[in-house]
Amino acid sequence: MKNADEKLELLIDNLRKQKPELNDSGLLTDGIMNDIAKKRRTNKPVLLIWVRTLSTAAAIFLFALYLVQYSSDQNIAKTTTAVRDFERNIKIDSECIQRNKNRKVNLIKTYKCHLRKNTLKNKHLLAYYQQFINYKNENNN
Amino acid sequence: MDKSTLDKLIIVRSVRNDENAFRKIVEEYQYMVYSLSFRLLCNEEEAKDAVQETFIKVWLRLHTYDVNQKFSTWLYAVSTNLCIDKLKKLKSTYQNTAIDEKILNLCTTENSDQKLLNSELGDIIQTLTNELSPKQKTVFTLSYFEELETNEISRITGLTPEKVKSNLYLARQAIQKKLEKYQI
Repeated sequence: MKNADEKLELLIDNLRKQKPELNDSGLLTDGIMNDIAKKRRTNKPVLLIWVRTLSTAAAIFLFALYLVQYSSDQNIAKTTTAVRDFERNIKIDSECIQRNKNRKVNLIKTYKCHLRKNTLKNKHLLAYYQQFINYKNENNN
Repeated sequence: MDKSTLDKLIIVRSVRNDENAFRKIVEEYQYMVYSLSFRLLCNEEEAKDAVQETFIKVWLRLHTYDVNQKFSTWLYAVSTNLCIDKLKKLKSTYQNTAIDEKILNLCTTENSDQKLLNSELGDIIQTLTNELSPKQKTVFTLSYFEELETNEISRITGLTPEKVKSNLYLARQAIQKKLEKYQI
């Protein structure tokens, strides 16, 4: 009776000698080659990978820059509107001031004119009064 | 020009999408891959599918192959990984009493020249190894049937030489226990 180890070695040895048969090896090769022809190898060159990575990074950077620029433009637009409103208000205010000023100037002018007229009237009145006094004196004499 | 230089030349041409060169690789190595796949999967059709999938994988990944490494080792690694994945999915619960007699016959020297059919050979290997884990089965097949050295098995499977040896020991123990059931 052989021991178990020897029996196992014999079994393994016999199994090793038994080679599995491959009858249609040509057919299998053709099948593999057909499958390969269908599948294009994605053997991307290193340079292409770098170019793709860099262009992706550049695109992301430009998009981020656009977003930043867009938001700052919005802020500027908001500021511009506020400034424009402010300027308009100032303009309105200055027009109002000017109008008031004009009104005051006109009033002064009218007053000055009035004064001038009064001065003339006073001068005439004074001249009449002088004539009256002179006449009175002549009659008394 | 020696064989390894010629192999490298064919591989370089294959990397450059030369399908005729790759056909030469397939013709030269397909039996090696088929033999390993058959002994691991124990089924002719499954083994052929594995061969096909292995070479497609090799074609797609050939540019990652290091020409300083032995090509057959790299090919074994691709094929082994694929078969291990298949083994995990298959989870066979195969049991065939008719095959017991064939196993008994193989344990005697007188019947060693008897040629077995693929189905019989597959059934015998399956009966003997169905309780082994995919890792143990792979190490056992590579060591005893493909007659590879421990270091090469280590490179193929990615296991340390110590783990290869321990897996081999456990596989051997399990098969020996199985043989005891046959009262050999």
